[in-house]
Amino acid sequence: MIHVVSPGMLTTVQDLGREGYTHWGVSPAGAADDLALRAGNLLVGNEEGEAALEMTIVGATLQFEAAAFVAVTGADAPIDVDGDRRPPWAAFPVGLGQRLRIGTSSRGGRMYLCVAGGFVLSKTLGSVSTHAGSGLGPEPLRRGQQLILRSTAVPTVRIRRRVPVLHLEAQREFVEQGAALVRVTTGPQWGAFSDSARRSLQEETFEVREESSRMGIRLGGPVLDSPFDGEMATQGVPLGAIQVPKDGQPIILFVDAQTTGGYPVAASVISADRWRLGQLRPADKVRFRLVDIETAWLELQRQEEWLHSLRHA
Amino acid sequence: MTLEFISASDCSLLLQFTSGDRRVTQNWILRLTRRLAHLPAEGQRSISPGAGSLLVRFDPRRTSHSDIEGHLLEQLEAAGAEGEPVVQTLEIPVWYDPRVGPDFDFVQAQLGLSSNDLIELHSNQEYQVLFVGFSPGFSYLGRVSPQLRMPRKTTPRPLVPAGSVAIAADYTGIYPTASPGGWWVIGRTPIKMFDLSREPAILAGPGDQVRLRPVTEQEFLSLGGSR
Repeated sequence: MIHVVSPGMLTTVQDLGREGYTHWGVSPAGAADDLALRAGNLLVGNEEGEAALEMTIVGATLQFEAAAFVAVTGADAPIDVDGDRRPPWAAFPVGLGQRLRIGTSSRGGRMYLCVAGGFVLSKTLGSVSTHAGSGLGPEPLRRGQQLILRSTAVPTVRIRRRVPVLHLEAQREFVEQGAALVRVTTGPQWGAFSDSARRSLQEETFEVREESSRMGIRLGGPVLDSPFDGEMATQGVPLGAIQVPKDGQPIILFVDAQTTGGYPVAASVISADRWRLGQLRPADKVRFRLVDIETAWLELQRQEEWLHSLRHA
Repeated sequence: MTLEFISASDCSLLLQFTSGDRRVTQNWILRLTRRLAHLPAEGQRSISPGAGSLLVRFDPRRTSHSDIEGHLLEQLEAAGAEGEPVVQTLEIPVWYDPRVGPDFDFVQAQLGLSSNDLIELHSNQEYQVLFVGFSPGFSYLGRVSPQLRMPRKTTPRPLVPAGSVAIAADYTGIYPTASPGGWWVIGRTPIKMFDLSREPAILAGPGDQVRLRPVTEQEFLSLGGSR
């Protein structure tokens, strides 16, 4: 069992999300940085989609009432066990009665705590992920709450895996002119946008606004002219769609977003860069680069190979 | 009837009908939706029907836009061959009253209708669930009579109770859970539109037919409704 001493700013349970119910209006939810979740699980020997704790900017402090193997991945935040520093992106043990503290992120928006064996949680429509908007999944973590670990046995195998730093940076760094570089493919209404709007999207730097959340990443900076005056016919929207409402300030529809939308979508973030969206935080700078579908798939394949290498490390 | 396939992202394909009668094309979308919900394409993650469109999200590690397009064309053909599906009509009791429909009086005044005309126009027709969006189980029922056309509110109401029956543009809908809402609320149903303890959780899914039956306050309360 784990006792929540302090939940941090916003900590929820997330797995890879609730797939397959969008035609019922159910958002997928799931880890905002899916890559960090999957890597963390592989480091502790779990299935890659096991549920973990997703912490937002400020980490949690947890008292372990049972020994466990854990890994913390995602944003750069200090980690300690009873005051002794522990490395990120690595599996390490936490003993019975010890206190694991994850501090405040210096870079990036979300940290993930994966525990070998996972947590005891019941699934709703195939997933344990919290979706704040609809109330599906468990409530965000509260002070004093207990989390039950599925495996109570002390691991006998000494898992000492960690992701080599250089390896990690090659995979996770992608910055241009001080801004996170996010690659996109054209969206369904790309052709309807003006030349100047399309140019702005590709050449200018945007800033993540304070009102951003798991529903949508709201961007400030350049204003794009919207191609439609009135309301567009409601249609299904993909995860990572860059929607442009009438005010011209783009919103990237994220994991908790509604499944349908009524604003034109200029471009959509590629699957391999989706984790970057999960690491954006208010005031971060973002730039977009248009790529073709083949490039997007090639990047995803590279990322999958990298994850695969962790599994067999 | 013309249709086109558009890449919506590196992992989704949008099928859009660009011409043809709106009723007919929506019917094709709904038939396709039902088929894909039961017979998903290899690598299909989820589907979202919309007004005149259907988005298919897929796992790009397992399939591609062209394979999904091929599957959709096959399913369209199969849907055509099987003929019109038999659809049951679901009856949903609604208490139309300003006490549970805070916009009832305003809508009535705005549209120049008597209370009875408003209720009659809203309830005396069969609706179809055109698509579900906004929140789990929020079914867009269409199309409402042109005499009931209200634009969406400019400022949404911060809290609309569960069961609220509302109109906007040419749709009517029922809020499955309490949430903010930008539609005009004219009544309330005691029926739960989305209930995880039920199988399936959704009461009226894409393609289902719905009839709204006006009920009295007593009946509303006896069916478990609360004011």
